[in-house]
Amino acid sequence: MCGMKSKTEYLTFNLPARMAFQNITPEVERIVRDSGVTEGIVLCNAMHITASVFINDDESGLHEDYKKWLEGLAPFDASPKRYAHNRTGEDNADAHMKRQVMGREVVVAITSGKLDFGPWEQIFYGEFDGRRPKRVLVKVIGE
Amino acid sequence: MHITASVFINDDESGLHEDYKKWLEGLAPFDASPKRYAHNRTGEDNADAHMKRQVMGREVVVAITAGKLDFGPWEQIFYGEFDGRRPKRVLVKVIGE
Repeated sequence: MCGMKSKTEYLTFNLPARMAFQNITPEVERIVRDSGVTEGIVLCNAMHITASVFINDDESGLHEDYKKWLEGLAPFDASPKRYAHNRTGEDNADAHMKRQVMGREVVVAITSGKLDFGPWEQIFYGEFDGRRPKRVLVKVIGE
Repeated sequence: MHITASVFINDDESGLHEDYKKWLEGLAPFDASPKRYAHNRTGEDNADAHMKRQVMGREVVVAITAGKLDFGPWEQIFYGEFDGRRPKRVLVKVIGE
């Protein structure tokens, strides 16, 4: 792949709540700009198995709706009676499930040096077992 | 490569895998009846498997850095089968320099 450029960065988050969403689009835009890639793709993924990277609307009402909806699909319950995973001493089985619903990663097209988004797309870090430092990987490849 | 199977990344912990099975069965229960699932009018019995795989995902894209899978502390890649007992394929494609 003659002339391919790549750039990799790791972002660290420590969200102060168990479940929270943070818009990380500006950070990803900066990494794409710094890479010099004009045509390519950027992979942005959570490096922890109780967190997500996803794309959707930057609207706070929707974020409240996501929280309630996810809690309904996979309720928090520290008890190993409900969740076999919690027999390990963990209490976060629900977070492993919530993150599967929201996804691990996004792959975004880079066109003319910019994230090639529709009108409302924004990249979010989704935390489901927060209050500790966790990383997101951003890797740009292209020419 | 099959629409009733998944590739996903999560924890290699057997209790969690039991939890995933119960949870997915609750979200999209197996039911061979075409009364419940219009897809099963085709003669198939696996409508639930198409849904389960959408929850767990079709694919993962993993960064390769310094020649290795660039994982966090607990990430492992899994093949998830929701309509098994027949040969099924997974595609693995590496590109880069």
